[in-house]
Amino acid sequence: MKNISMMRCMEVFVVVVLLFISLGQFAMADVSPGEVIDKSNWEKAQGFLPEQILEWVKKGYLIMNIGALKYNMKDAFAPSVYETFTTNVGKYDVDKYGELIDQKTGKYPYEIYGIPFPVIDEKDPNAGFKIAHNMRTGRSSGGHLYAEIDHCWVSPRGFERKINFSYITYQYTGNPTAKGIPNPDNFERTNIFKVTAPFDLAGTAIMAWNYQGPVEDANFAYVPAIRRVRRTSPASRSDALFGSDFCIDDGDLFEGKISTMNWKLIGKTIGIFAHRSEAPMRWIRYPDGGYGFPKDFKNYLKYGWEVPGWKGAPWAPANAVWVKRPVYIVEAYAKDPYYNYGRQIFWFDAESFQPLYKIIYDRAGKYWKGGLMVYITYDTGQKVGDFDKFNDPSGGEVFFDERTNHATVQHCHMGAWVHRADKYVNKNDFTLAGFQKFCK
Amino acid sequence: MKAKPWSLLMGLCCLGVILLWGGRAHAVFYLDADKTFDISGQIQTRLTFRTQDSKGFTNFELGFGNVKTHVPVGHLVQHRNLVYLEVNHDLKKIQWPWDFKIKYHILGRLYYDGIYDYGPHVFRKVGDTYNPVRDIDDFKWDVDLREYYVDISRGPLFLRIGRQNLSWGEADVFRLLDNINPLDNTFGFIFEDLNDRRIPLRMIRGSYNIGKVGPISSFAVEGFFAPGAFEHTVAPIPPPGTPYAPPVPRPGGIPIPGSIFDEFTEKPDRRWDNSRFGLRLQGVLFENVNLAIAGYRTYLDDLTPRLVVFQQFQPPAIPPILGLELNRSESKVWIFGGSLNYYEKHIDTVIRSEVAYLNDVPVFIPRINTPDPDFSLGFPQFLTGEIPKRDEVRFVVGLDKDVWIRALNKKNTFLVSLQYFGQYIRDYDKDIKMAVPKFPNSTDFISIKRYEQTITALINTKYMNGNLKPEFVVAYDPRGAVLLLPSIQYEWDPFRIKLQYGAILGKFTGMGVFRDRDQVSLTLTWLF
Repeated sequence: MKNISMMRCMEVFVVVVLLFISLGQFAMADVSPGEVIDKSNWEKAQGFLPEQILEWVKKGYLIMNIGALKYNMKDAFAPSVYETFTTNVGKYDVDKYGELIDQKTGKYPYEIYGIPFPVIDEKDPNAGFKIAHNMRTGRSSGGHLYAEIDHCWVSPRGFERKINFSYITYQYTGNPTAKGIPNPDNFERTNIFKVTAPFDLAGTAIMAWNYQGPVEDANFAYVPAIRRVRRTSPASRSDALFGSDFCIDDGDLFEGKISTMNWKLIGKTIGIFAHRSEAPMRWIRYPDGGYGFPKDFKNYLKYGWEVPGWKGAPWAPANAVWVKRPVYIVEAYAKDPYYNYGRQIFWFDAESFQPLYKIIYDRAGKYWKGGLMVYITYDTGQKVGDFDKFNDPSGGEVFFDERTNHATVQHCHMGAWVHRADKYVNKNDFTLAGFQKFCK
Repeated sequence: MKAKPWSLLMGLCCLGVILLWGGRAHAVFYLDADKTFDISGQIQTRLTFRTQDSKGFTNFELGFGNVKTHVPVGHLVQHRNLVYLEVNHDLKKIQWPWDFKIKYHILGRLYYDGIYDYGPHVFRKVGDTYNPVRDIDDFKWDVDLREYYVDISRGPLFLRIGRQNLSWGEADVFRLLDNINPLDNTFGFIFEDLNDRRIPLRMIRGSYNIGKVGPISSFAVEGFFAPGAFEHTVAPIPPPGTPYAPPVPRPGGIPIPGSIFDEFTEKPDRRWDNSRFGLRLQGVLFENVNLAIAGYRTYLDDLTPRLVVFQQFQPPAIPPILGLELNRSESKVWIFGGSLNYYEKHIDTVIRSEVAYLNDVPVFIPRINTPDPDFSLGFPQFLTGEIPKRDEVRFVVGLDKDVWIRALNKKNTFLVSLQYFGQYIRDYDKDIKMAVPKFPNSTDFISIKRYEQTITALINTKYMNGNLKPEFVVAYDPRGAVLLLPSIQYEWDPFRIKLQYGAILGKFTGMGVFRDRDQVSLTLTWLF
């Protein structure tokens, strides 16, 4: 009897000890503003990052200065867009192709503004699609864009080379300033990438027409070597862009057509993601009507190779602040059998619906590479359209290929949103004739 | 008096070095904080060695002298040095009236091929020989404003005015609708990139985007006008004795001892009625098919010789004065045609096609262009030839597919591009020939069939994060000639290193004319 009692006491004691240890682990997994999370205390970030990104912290690639946003994310939307958090409830749905449709008519809406699905029902089998559509139209709500981007190859030794290109996009859906503009082609948006350097690639340009509804996107490329505009296959969107660790669809973590993927919501959690600063960053207005940083602005987002003495990976953001945010975790698979990616896992901000992380597996199901986005919230100090602040992924993004131990960083020093529809971004530029004028 | 090429080359190299250190390496050099004014460029040197004995075909006699141009294996046949300097300036800071957007572009070029100064003896001697076709000093180096134009745009209207290249059509490697700009084949013909061979023309080019018209979206009209009063550039002819010169046919095959014989070229006169101009309509049908129809007048690059008798004496105690005219002004043609390309999703392939109808193409029929002398008086009487014309239909069907061959490349696709070219001559004459004599017989010319065809294939991909780019191009003439062009380029910013092998094998037909010019090239480029 005595022995059994002793045994039972021992069992209980072991269980209690184990319980305390477990609780201790959970208690350790949290971050607070002011902390620095690196390889010495990576456990604190457990649960707040995708496993593969957590590995980056463990390996010393990422060093995270934890902070907290000093503004409400919803202030980064125009009031007219913020209204749609109420007015769009129940207005739209998703059809069998994954395309956005009007709930009442069942047809593809001619104009969509704001966030089409402000309320996400986690049990909805189309929840993943809806989050993806929110991402697309939410991003468009800032208006058309002209940005100059550095596409940088980075090895463990540091910066290797770069391609400069300009990116111009004309947003038809989700963009308040495009209201009333004729859209007979039923575009969702049109965009152009044009390489400006180095000399041997300068003039290469890619144009994409993204249609609303289940119409295949049209992609065109101008190749200086043949001096002509050439049609390209949509499958080439998963081809490595100029041989880098990005493909075209990796722009802003997902640049492709929503209905080309099968999206599925698989979870909701709190995540940590990179933001340029805790407070919005001030933009000025240029004489031509665009907005951007002052010309002498130096406080750009920097990456490891740009910061002397940086201890993390050369491709890691070095002066970002990492903040906690509610996130949706969404899994995506390409419908195209020729697409080069297998499973993709996205972490989306649950309020802005912008992607924060992208984890890519190959077609055999093995983990291949991870990507993260750095966001900036701009404050113009004046009404632009009908808002003054907006959240944008122009801080940059990184893709790190685990197999080759190589990364590509894409960032723009002087991103400029433009809110006058035709002043700087002219929709005629996105026609065959207009596209050819970008070419040499 | 032109400055010495060496001094110009050194000067531009110094400028390149300054820009490289003053600006950012492997990036554009901006002159202003707003990045509206940029300078960039490249310096390139290309060494080419013959890998095949060209004895025989390029061995010919010239004029008074006897110039043997046999180039043995291993000899340097090209040391081409190029400097490009490009300026782009967007004048957006100026408030132009009516919201016009204006920018300009200038591309300066210096080239110098050193083989005529320090190359094999056979090329150093070319300049010593009387060469009426072209002075070798003019041929071996030049500095010019290669391109210069102003872009003016407003809404759907776009104008480009100045010296520029314009390419229509869908074909690669060979040209059908893409005959607006002449080609300079004097420094490597088909072994050189097509784009490097284009000669810009001074022209006005404009387009107007009309928009959606019924099922056609992005409908636009485009036109160009290269005024003949100012612009009469045509494809140059390589001086005989240079590495890529074809041999020149002899009249009637009879060498006339002591005859005064001249070869000369005719360029179009500078006249308004010698202008090049054209119009194209293009659009996208049913959101998937790019369609274009075009019509334009231009000058073809092909050589069309004819015998010209300047003077002959009877009885012929005094030798006749003859000439072989390589006439470009006669090669003014009208070209009408159309092209299309579209993406076929079931086979994940871009299909493109082009057809061109060429009106009044000069052809070479020896009995007409270079008639045999008349012996009815008991001594040869030479006759001036004529240039006959025929209409031709040329077409191409092409397929472009990005293929994953993951066993060979897990990260990038292979671009596979196939083309089938066809050419049909209307009112065919069985004596239509290429104006190139068949070695060893200098009076026998290569026949051209009523229907000719060529098949091309290209495959390329990228490795090492885009730093290594292998490519293989092959062209096959079913009459028995094949072109092989494997190449590999390595990028190590700001340098590019390219190794290319060029070979033509098979019979003496079509492109087989140059089957004894196989070569290997090493190109080093420095970008700034």
